[in-house]
Amino acid sequence: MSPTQWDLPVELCCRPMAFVTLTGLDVVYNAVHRAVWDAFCANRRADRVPISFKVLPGDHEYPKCRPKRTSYEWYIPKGILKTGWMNKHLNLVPALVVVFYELDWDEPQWKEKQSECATRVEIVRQSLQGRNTKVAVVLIQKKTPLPPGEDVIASERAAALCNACELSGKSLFVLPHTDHLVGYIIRLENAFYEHAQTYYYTEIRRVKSHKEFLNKTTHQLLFVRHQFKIAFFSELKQDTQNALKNYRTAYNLVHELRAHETNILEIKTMAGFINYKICRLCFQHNTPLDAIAQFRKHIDLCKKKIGSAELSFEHAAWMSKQFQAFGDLFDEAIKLGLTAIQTQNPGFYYQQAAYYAQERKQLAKSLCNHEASIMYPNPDPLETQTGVLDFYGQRSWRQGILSFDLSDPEKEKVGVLAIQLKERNVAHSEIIITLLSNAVAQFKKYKCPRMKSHLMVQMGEEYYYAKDYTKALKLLDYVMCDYRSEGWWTLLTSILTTALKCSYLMAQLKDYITYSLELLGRASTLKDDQKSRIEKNLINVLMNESPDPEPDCDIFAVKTAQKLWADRISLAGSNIFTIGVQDFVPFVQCKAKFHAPSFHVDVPVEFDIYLKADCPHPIRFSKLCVSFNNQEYNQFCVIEEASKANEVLENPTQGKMCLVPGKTRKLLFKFVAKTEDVGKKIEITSVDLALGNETGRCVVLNWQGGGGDAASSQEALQAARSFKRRPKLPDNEVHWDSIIIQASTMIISRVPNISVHLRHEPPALTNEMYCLVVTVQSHEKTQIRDVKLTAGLKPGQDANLTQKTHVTLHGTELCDESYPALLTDIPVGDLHPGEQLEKMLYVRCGTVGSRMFLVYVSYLINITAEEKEIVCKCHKDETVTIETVFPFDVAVKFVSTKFEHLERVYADIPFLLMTDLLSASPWALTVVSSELQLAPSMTTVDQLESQVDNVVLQTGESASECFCLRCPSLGNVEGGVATGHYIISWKRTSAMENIPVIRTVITLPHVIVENIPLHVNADLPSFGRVRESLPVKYHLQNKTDFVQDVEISVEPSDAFMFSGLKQIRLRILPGTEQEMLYNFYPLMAGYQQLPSLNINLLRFPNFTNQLLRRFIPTSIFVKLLGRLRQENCLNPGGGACSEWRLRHCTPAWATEQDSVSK
Amino acid sequence: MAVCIAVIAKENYPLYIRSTPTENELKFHYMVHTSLDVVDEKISAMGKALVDQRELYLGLLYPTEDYKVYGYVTNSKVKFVMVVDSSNTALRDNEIRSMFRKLHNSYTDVMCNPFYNPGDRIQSRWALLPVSASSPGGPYSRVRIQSRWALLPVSDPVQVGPTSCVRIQSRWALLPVSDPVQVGPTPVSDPVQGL
Repeated sequence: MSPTQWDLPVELCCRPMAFVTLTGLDVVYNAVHRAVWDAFCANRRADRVPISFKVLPGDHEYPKCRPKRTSYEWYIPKGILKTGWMNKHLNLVPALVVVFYELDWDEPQWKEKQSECATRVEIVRQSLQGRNTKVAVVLIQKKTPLPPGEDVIASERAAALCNACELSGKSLFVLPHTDHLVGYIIRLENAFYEHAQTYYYTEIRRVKSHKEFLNKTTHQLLFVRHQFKIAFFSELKQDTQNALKNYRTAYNLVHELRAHETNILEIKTMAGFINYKICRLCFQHNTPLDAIAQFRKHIDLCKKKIGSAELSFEHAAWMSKQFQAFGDLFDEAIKLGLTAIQTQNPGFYYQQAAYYAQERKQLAKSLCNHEASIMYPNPDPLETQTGVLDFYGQRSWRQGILSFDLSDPEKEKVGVLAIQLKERNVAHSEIIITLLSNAVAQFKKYKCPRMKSHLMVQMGEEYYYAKDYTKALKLLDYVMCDYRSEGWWTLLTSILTTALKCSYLMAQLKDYITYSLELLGRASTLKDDQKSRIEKNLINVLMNESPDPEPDCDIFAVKTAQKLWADRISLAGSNIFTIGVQDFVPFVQCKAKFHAPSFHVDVPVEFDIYLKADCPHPIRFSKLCVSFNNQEYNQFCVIEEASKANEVLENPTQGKMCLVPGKTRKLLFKFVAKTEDVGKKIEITSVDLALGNETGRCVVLNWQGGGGDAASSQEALQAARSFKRRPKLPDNEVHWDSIIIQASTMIISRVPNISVHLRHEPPALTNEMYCLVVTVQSHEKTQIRDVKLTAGLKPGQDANLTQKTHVTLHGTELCDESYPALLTDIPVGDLHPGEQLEKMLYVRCGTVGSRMFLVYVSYLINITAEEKEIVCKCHKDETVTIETVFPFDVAVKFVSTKFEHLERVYADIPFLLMTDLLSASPWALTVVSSELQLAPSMTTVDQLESQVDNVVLQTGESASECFCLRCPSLGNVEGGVATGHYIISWKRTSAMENIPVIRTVITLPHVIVENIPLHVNADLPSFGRVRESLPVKYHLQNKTDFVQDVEISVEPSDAFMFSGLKQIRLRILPGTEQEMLYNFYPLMAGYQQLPSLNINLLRFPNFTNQLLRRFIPTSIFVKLLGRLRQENCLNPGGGACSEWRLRHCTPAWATEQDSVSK
Repeated sequence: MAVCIAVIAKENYPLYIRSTPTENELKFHYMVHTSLDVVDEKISAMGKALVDQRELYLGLLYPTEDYKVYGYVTNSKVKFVMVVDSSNTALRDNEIRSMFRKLHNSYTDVMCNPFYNPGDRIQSRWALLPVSASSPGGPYSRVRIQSRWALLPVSDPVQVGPTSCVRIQSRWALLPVSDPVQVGPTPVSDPVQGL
């Protein structure tokens, strides 16, 4: 028997197709025949009919048909299904034999040819010997046939040929060998297919006809056989529905058979075959659930049919095969478009197959442990005469015997022994691993990572049993991290134990050490005695000695391993292993913690390394070193084993270098930070702990950062969540869980011991040189050097502020754009202890708003820390927010000479410009001077002298000035006429002498200028006296280029008598002036209305008296005639007149100025 | 009558696993662990929709040859996995459901224990549920968890007595809010009745 005896036969697994033989084709020497044959076999795709063709010679001997049985009464079947039957009908007995013959209708020697063809058909018929196989004739013709009915000769000769060959007309075909060969062939194929189906139909009928002769007592096997044959023929007929139905019946019949130890294998084999066919057809019909249900039923029925206990491994093998075959079918269906799901995919079946394969291995191991002396029996009971069995699933030494009692127990024993000995040679592990890897591939596809890991563990274990330790380690190592990251410690421990065995057997030092470290650690669930054994081994390895073998290892493998270890020991070099602990859970835990999140540079940096061992016995370490991101500190943080001599004296459990299980060991480290590292982070990049020593073997455990391994983050979280009260521990001991890793610290500069004060008078005024007095006082114990001052606008504010803020040290000159906003590193010199220093800063702010100013003082000082002299740089900064405000508001207005508000001025007519300066500063301001710069379009009437020089304004006070101006006619100017600028020079009253004054320039508003046709002004004394003549002169100026007719009339008033022209009409030439003289005589005292002057311009009807009244006074104050007046009366004349004329426009605001200057 | 019962933390590490045939514990550990694949898939398929009306019972997870694995997930993503012998046809879906519900109640009681730190492995002398029932009259007839305190972690050195508890004023404050605990003294005060 071959090792693949459990494989399903090929003829069962293939898709049955109708078998048609072609005769009379000479495919070797005849090109035409070759082409025909090629057309038949090439391109057999799914759209072609399912036929398998074979070319055979015309006189081929087909399998002989056994003579028909007339009665089944005395017939006893010897088995269920013959091994050759399926193959016979698939490849040996054709459904149709086609005779090819070259013959044209117009063949001259027709008679001879016809009889030759008939002879050939006869030969074929002879060789078929009574089978129902159909015979057909194909005539290969050179000419294209005419359409049917037109060729009379053809139809005649065809009928004659059919007659001669005893063929029906339907079995005669013509194949013209022309261009469309493939098309003709396909049509031929379809015709052949029909014939084949008829053949299989008759075969089914034939088998069915036997049924009536059978009886239930002796022919039970035949029921199954016939049902199977019907189903198989239906499949050949491509009638899969009926095939499925018949297979199902056959399946039920198989299980109705009487089962006994002797025939159980045959029953199971047949049941397996039929089950395979059913599942296959169900998948083909796209009813996978039916297939699965059938398979489950099959397994449930067959699971318990173990058969002979001595050969129970055969049952396991068979079960395994069942699952594997179903898995294959399932997988194939998926490839053809079926969709599987996570919980129902081929992987489960492969997994189960692997499980049974494992069971087979176990059983084989227990059943086949014969001693080596037992020889394989001779003659071989498993050999048969033909080399194959007659019936499926029978024992070779008792074929065809149906009796349930063993006729020859001796023979049976020998047979069983032969099978058992054969089983011993089977490579079980190989089978299991193949199945498992199939399952892994499937589970990977269906998102089952954990299932995949589990199967990989099984594969690894299987490799271990198969002694392929390298592969086993590789697989186990690969999945370990999955279990570790999810915290399934029991599973991890079991995997590690296997891995440790593998590494021991291969003497893989590094792996052995790594696995030992983890098995000793807290993640391991091993018992203490196991742990102490492993620890002992580990210590041995570190001493460069061989470890004891792991328990439950193969004795031979252990022997090889011991040799390997001996080689390792003698081998020098490469005895230091560095193992990163990030990816596993070693038995030493480490946590690093800086005492503070930041250290001043003048105090030593201190941190603790906490170590804890979880192993059962104390362990010594030889070296501990800490690495930092700045490697210069590494040298300060190393603990090394003292010299050998010391070691002997030291009590091993009390020593610093010894870790006691369960106790937390704290190691303090201290170093002085470099001054260059001020402002930088110092980080612990790794902690290295060396176990063992360089003379033996050395293992360096490397923690990245401040400690912590694969499990510690979860533990830290758990500890943080816990509200459990921890029992009190004696001083200087800490709870491991309460230690929180702090792997980095900041180095910050030394605390400055100076004071910085700022003195100023806020708010600042726009454009002013604002004075800021900085006072620095040293409180240090020693002299400080290199004091530097940085002052100005604090960086990081609005960019506009930087452009509008300027800082200088010199207040005597105004600073401009070129000055910076921040003065950096102004050297100030050294300061002795207690010494004080003052520095003045001037700030000019161009815009209002608040600004942050920074004053930053830095210095150097020598400090002794940990007996080391270092130079510390200290600094202190002060910020201040200063508001900038406008110093004053300036208001400007235009008024007429009568102080009436003007919206527009008239060309050539004087008007007044009034400025009003209102102080907004909280501090007193001194207006040093003011100046009016007129635009060219304006002219002044009198001198433009400043009237507010050296006026001091307190908050809320105002200073006003008034200038009389005239605007010459310019015609109509859009938007008005520029007036000029008003410049104020000012400073704080409190500012020092040498502080420059600030010039603030105010642009005066534009004014609208209008032309007027006639201007009237009056010469009038400032007051009159009762009964005293009051001469009034009106000047009428023609401002136009025309001669103007003017009508003037004076209306009488009760308060005055007057002399002069009461009503007149006159003409005024262009540009000239007309004088009108009146002598008024006041009659009453008080503020009296003058007799009103009415002027009427004939050319300008718009020119009204309203407008006129702006220019000429309408009332006058009349005084009573007093004594003084009488004295004055002595001295009348034009002198008085000229006196008041000079002052005619000053009196009204002279009083106002008094109030301003107060 | 379950063969194995497991309580799995939110982060998928085991909080509690107990199986009856103790000789082959590892097999059940693997079985429970692999079943988490399906649990994960089912939880992610459930999505975030309708958190309130979500069915906690996940149903049959794995059909293996000899065992059936059932799953259940609490609102705080703690998973319960139960392995049942395939041959035991007496256990229908409803029985499994009620077993899970009882397991959930027991788990809630453990969470109520002020000395239990959520996330720690449950170390109880008492099984949360009896894994096998040798006695006639239903799987739970023998269960008598006399006091809630019996579910205390045994390893904890805290004395269970009134004096040691003074610091904790109310145990209700310590309940995990996400777990569907009925707040009120009646349902939890006597868990035995519930069983």
